Amino acid sequence: MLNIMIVDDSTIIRKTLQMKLESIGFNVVAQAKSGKEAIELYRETLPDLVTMDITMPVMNGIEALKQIKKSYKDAKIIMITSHGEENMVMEAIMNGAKGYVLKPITEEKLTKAITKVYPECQNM
Amino acid sequence: MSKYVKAIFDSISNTTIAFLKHDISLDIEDIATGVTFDYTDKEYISAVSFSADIKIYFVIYMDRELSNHIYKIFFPMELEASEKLELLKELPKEIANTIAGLSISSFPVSYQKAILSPPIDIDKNLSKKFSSSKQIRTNRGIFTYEIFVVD
Repeated sequence: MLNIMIVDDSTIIRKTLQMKLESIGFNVVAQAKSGKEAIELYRETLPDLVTMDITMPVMNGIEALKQIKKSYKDAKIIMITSHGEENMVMEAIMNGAKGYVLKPITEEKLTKAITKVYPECQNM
Repeated sequence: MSKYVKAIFDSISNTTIAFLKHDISLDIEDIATGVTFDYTDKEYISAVSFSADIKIYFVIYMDRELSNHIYKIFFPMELEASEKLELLKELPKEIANTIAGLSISSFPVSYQKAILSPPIDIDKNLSKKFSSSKQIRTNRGIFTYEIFVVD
């Protein structure tokens, strides 16, 4: 079972992601409200995958991605994004993000994005 | 009002109605335009802004009935009262952000790189240059919004 960390400043999105990921069969091991908290929690929990919001206060998702990837080259991070953030998604991919999910979030979109990173999850 | 500002206003309006109809599956019973939007003491209110060469604000307000209905769609299971309260409080921010994000792709091309803000507090003393407000009565409550450009 994959261990996943959720990073988003929105309580609604964190709860929605937790619900949807757990219903698919993943294990949510940590939730962070900012990029800075994400870096600390990544170190503590070493999740198999991170879902990372792009626009957050204190530290945005792209900066957090860069810093996590610097210390953990194999970190697998998927960006969660709204329309209008396409340039930032591209920057995230260029810095090692493994994919993205466009809001509104659905289980189908999550499974598709996670399966690209972990093909063995295809039948979940 | 320039044609671009009008086009942006129309994009946001159309996206709002489409979101309520298709994403929340609501029946639209009536739409009133030019409503006076009083921001004070509103429970379920949120605002975002779009920044390009102009700054456009999008403020939404949902009445309690509609907020509870949308909450149940997002979270159909039973949650602790304190958690439910927190999620209800945050819900308008997410709705405003989602509609605003969805609307950008139908902006005039030169405005499609507009930067969407996170949820912001509205300064009631903002001087509005152009504004458009609508009150949408649905079968599950009332959704009110205002779009405006500041001086």
